[in-house]
Amino acid sequence: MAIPDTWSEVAKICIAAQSGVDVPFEAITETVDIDIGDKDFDVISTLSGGRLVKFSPQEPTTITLEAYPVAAGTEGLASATAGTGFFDLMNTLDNTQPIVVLADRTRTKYRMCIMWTDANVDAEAQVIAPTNFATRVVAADGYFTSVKPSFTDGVLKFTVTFKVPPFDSSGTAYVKVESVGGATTATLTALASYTSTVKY
Amino acid sequence: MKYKVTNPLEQTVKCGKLVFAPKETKVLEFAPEGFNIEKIEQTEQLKNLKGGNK
Repeated sequence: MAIPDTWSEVAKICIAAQSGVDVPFEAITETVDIDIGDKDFDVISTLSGGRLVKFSPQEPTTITLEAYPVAAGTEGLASATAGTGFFDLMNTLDNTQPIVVLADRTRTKYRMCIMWTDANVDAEAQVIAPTNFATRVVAADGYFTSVKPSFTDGVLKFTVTFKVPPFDSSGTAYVKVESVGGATTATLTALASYTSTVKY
Repeated sequence: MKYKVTNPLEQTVKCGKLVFAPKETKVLEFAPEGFNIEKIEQTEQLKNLKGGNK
């Protein structure tokens, strides 16, 4: 298959709860913005006129979605085949209709992955080159920090923010960006089932 | 018909007014979505789930 000029128009998105399946959300999502945490630094000016670099710890990564759900949450997120809402991701899941999401102090970890590919697979799936190409961003153990509905344009749009630090307390990465493509055979492996001990 | 209903997730999940702790199992008379469901057809199985005849 020819190398794609760009990744455009479509993308795959999935969100998984710990010990749940990867649930596709692309059917209700319009835009994705991935703000990979900066690895910034400050500059110290010395009396000799020189400059010293003082590195700043990497910032959290933030993924923002603009989406058009028509429900408060997803019924049975643990095994759902499509995501239908976001309020439950920031609070406590409700598996039964009517879905009732109460504001609470629950903070729950999720994994989000976004993949651009010319293969007909979901975001968490395997892609094999040279048959197909793919680029994937995975962020595990993140939290939904913001779910903001708006009706300004006459359509109910949700702006959803998912935030994840770069590392866990042991320094193991929470974020990975990967791709596969080219002339030789190579495999972008499917993500492992997400649990409290397996990130991806 | 009764069902052994298990929350598969590592987080608290509501099912109407019922609240399931992570990985918690309850015996219910209905089978809600998003849970691991096991039918309990034998009276003996139900007794075992409740800790047997004591």
